[in-house]
Amino acid sequence: MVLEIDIKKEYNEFQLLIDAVTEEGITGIFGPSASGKSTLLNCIAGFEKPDSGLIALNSEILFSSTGRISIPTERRRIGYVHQHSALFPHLTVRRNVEFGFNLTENSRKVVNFQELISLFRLQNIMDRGVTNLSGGERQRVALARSLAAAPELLLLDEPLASLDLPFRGFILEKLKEVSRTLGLNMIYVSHSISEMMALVDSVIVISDGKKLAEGNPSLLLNNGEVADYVDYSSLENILQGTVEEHLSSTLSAVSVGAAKLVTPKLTLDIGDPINVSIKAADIIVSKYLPSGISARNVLKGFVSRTNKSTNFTFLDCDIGGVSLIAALTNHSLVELGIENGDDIFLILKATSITPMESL
Amino acid sequence: METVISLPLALPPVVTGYFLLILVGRESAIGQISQFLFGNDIVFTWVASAIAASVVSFPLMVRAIIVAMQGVDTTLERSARSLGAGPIRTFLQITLPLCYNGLVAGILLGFVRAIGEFGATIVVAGNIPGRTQTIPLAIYSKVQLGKDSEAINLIIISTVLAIITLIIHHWLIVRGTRKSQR
Repeated sequence: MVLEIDIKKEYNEFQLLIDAVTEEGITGIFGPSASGKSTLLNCIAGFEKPDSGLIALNSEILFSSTGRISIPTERRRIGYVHQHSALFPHLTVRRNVEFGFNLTENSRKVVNFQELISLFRLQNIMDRGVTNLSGGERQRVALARSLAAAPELLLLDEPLASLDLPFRGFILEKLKEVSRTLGLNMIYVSHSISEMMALVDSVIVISDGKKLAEGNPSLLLNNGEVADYVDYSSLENILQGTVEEHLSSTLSAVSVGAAKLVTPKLTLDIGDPINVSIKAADIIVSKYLPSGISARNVLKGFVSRTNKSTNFTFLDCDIGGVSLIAALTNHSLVELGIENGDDIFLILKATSITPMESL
Repeated sequence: METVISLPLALPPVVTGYFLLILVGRESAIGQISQFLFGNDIVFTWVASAIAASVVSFPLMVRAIIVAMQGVDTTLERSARSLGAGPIRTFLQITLPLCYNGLVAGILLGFVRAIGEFGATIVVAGNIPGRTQTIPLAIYSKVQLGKDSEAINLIIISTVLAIITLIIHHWLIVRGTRKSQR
């Protein structure tokens, strides 16, 4: 048990009523806009006070209405990464990152300053002002700044929402790396189903100030109640791979697990790690090996699970150990007669695979 | 609280002056203390004209400073708090530097208003040449006595001072807005 929340907060017509417990790792908070996600984060961070209830982090009480306890933000050791970075505009990159670092006792520091700088590849922009940085650079600085203060929990409020696809890959990768290597627990707020699937260990779904569902992120695909709030057309598979070879002036190949994907030409070197994004709706499913087809990728695998929602079915496909989600209308599913365990072929044009080349 | 601070802005300055006369006059508690400590009245001294100028220009300055501080993005202050900075450090290292231009602009506006004070000053400090006569009071006296040529120098000084102040004020505000929007 990492974070324990049981709070109530009302304003105007809106009521936030959340009772939840998060475990080790990255917990996603998913919900439509104005569902209360930001208010919940603000209460956890100490920016706002709940009307009543309890918040505890690693068994230490941060807020308790019955105990009349409310620890101020600066003593909660909770990092906060804002959607728009919220970098201090009058300070350089270095001074931004140093801000929290210098306020942290040496015994609590978990990373050294130089490691942090190279982790987020900030070496070359350290002495620049923050106002002319790109969106991706700003978010890297914001993450480094938060981690420099050695938080026990990191809150991320839609950190990728204002970034272009290539930048998102790098940040997602770094978040996973930090969570794994530092054992830092995180709460990740987003309304992107793809980010949830790619990053979080468990998810809490919030709607209209109430908890609607919680559990494995795959519940976003198969929970009927949640289906109304999910924009399935934007569901992407974000896969980690390695550049394998450059095939021609227009095509490259990326290996993901045992599978080899033909992608648009990459600028990275062979052997470099890369994330690629594939929209679930762009994948064509076939029961038989197609022949005489222009698509560059035909991947053989089997259906490990079918997730049925109101109009769509999401097939969890296992392609040589890599999990890939394909979206079908329920109508197609019936016509194809696909069931769990069936062998299938996934067909993908090279241009349907978007490289998320970082930086 | 805000009403009390802003009151001199809405009141006719002569009325403010009258209230000050009651507050610091010979019969008042403050007047008595002054007599006891310094053996002197406050009214009709340079101290009284300084008090009048301050009280009348204060709300203008305070309002400008409040607007400047409210212009600082709260998410920046919240970020500083979440990084371990207490409220005082956050104010000194984040809020203050980010609203510095607006702050100076507010003080400047208050200063120029104070220099131009007339109504309250004449009631509480009088118009004694060499003692409590301020620039506007001097201009008034000279125009009344028909010494327009002598008044003209003071008028030029006042006008130039006002124009310079407004130019600096405008420059500070524009620079401040640019800084907080970046």
